[in-house]
Amino acid sequence: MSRLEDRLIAQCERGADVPLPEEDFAELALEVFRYQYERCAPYRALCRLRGASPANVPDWRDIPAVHTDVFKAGSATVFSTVPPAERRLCYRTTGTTRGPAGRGEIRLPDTRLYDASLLSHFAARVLSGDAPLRLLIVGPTAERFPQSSLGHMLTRVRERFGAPGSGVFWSEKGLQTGCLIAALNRAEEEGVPVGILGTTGALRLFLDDAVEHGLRWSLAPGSRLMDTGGDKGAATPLPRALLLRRYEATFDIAPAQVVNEYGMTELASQFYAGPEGVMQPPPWVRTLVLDAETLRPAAPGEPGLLRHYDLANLHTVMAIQTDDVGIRRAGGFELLGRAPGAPPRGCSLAVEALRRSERS
Amino acid sequence: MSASPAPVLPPAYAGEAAPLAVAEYLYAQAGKPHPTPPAAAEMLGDLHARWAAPGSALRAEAVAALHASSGYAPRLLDESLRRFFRRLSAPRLRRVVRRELRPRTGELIRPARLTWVTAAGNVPVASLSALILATLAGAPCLYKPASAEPILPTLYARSLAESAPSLANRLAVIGWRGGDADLESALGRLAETVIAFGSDAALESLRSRIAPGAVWCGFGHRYSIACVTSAGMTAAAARGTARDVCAYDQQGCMSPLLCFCAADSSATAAFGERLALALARLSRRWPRRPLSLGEAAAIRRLRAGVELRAALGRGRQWLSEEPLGWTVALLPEADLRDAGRDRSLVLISVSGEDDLAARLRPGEGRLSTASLACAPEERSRWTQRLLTLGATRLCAPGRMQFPNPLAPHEGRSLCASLIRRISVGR
Repeated sequence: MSRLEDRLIAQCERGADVPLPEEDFAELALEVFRYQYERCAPYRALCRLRGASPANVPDWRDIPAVHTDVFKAGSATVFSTVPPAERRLCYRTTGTTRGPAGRGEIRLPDTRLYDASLLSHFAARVLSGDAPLRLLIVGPTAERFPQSSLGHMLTRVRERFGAPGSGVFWSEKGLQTGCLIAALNRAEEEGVPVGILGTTGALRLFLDDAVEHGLRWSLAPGSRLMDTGGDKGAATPLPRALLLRRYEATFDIAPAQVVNEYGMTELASQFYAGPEGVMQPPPWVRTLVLDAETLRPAAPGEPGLLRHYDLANLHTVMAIQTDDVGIRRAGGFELLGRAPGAPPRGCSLAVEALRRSERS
Repeated sequence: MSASPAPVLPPAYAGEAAPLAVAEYLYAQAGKPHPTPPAAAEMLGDLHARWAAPGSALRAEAVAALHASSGYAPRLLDESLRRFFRRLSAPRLRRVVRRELRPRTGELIRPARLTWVTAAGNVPVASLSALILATLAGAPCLYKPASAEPILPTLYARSLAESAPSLANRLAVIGWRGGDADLESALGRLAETVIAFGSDAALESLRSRIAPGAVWCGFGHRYSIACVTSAGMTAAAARGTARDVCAYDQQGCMSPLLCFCAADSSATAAFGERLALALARLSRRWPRRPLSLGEAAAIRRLRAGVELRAALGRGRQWLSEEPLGWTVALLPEADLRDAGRDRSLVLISVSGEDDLAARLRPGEGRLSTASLACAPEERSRWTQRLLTLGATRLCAPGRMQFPNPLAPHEGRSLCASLIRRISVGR
């Protein structure tokens, strides 16, 4: 355990509502950069290729970023600051470009820093405090999906904040509709508030079932809902406002009590958006919205690629260049989704078709 | 993209501008007096001479409109159009008439009653030869332009209507939203020949709608490659390959997506160096069109993967000075799935023809054009192997995006599909 890690954990534990001044963030970011440059050989090689090193990067915005696709380079190229023997945990991305072998891989020695970031920000944005809440989880868990970072997140949240009666309603076989209905019935009868946490896809399935069978609940005040993953995989994606109305109609949870989570395996920290749709980072994360062509800051109001600088990524790479598109907004950014691939051009599609067929 | 241009209808047509009504009019033209193919060759040849002439106003208008719509470099567009129309001169068209549109002994020929052409993609001229050959053959032609590129067929049809209204009376250029099942089924019952360019899915849907006896010419997903051996790694081959990459920014199915190098790694790296130099020079004359956010992100993805391999000593990269101008990557372990776009060319070292075949296996059956640069004594061997791999066109570097518009397309003669040969016995 390093002193730097202790400092970062302490920073996270101070709480997500405690601002991290720019100069403090810059100092920590440059320190993390040095730490990663010295310990992570593939990252150092990339930095050298770009002519960047801790000696010549004075601004955290210039710290070389690693594209999320690069994490899919395979087990032979692991971006980790710890020696192989200490990489006890492995999380894998779900997106693939080259079949299962092309899944991104993140290796960590432990989850102390990850958990400190997760729990602190979750308490601030989803729970508005750290009082226990009955959590109904409609997504992966660490026990059943040990390589899912979302599974780890939901499990840790349940361990830390779950009140008695909390449960998991998602397995390898999918949504456990009957059990979830029973849990919602019980919470309604007992007048106990709940936190429904899950993937948007799974919650959509449940909403559809509930509507089909005329089911709705009047959950106790204080109930809240967190969804993650977006709705674009659904056969008929719903606009966010409509989805919020459907949550309200089914669970009696007002839009103000619903948050949308944005995270990725490559990042230790998460972002949360309320009904206004602005993704808020925790204080130890900075996000730049960059013009895709120049990688300079996008003009105000213009969409650009998101690049995150997450201090909690100490064990991998702090600066992550994503394919996600967003617009800079006060306090964060509006997430627009994944950058589309090159648009189809007539008959010249063979390679895209090949890649697509491998993904499916 | 601005609003689609107005349809171009047959000059004598007085009905509404609805695709089915126009198609029925065109269908009814069959059997009516019409210029013969030899006469049509002269009229078309005159028109094409005007399009190809130095300082042509027709070409200048098309270049300006295409540049505004697609962003392609004006000098590229101008050269592409000039070459295209020069190769459609009266003498060349006469030769096509003699070879492909003349009845043989004991035969009569008649044009197909209605030819329906559906174009695709945003590379101008890509499917315009189908329209021109239909006009040459006298086959009434309903041409649906690509939604991304309706400009050139529209301008061409207008110029034809002005210069040769008798020919233009068998031609309509009219667009509609693709996938209109009722309309396309009705057209499919009427058309005697259907020539379609597009995605496999679009073609499959269209084909299910045409009459069983109709002639079907579908041109679906294809890709193209460059092949160069150590003996062929000349400065000229590098310049030619750069032209192939920059012409229409690798958007066409005849653009090289990969360059296979049958040479050792140092020779391949030297070729990469030459290619980078050629791309840098050519990009000043033919600047890349603006990229969408998605296109830029795709290049960033490609570059990220290349950069990592280069950093770890498993590849090399050459990058344009301007952001995302062009990319050359040398990736010894790559295959077809690493192909790039928008001026991103991946060089792959192969040990020989067998290695090439293995790398192309993921795209089996979809190879279109291959450029080949090699020593004369290697040519026959490589040609045979590329043909076995399914290549339908071989050419020298620099000519991939400038095919002969009168040559068979993807190995098939369009002329043959535009006429019917009637055996006349006693």
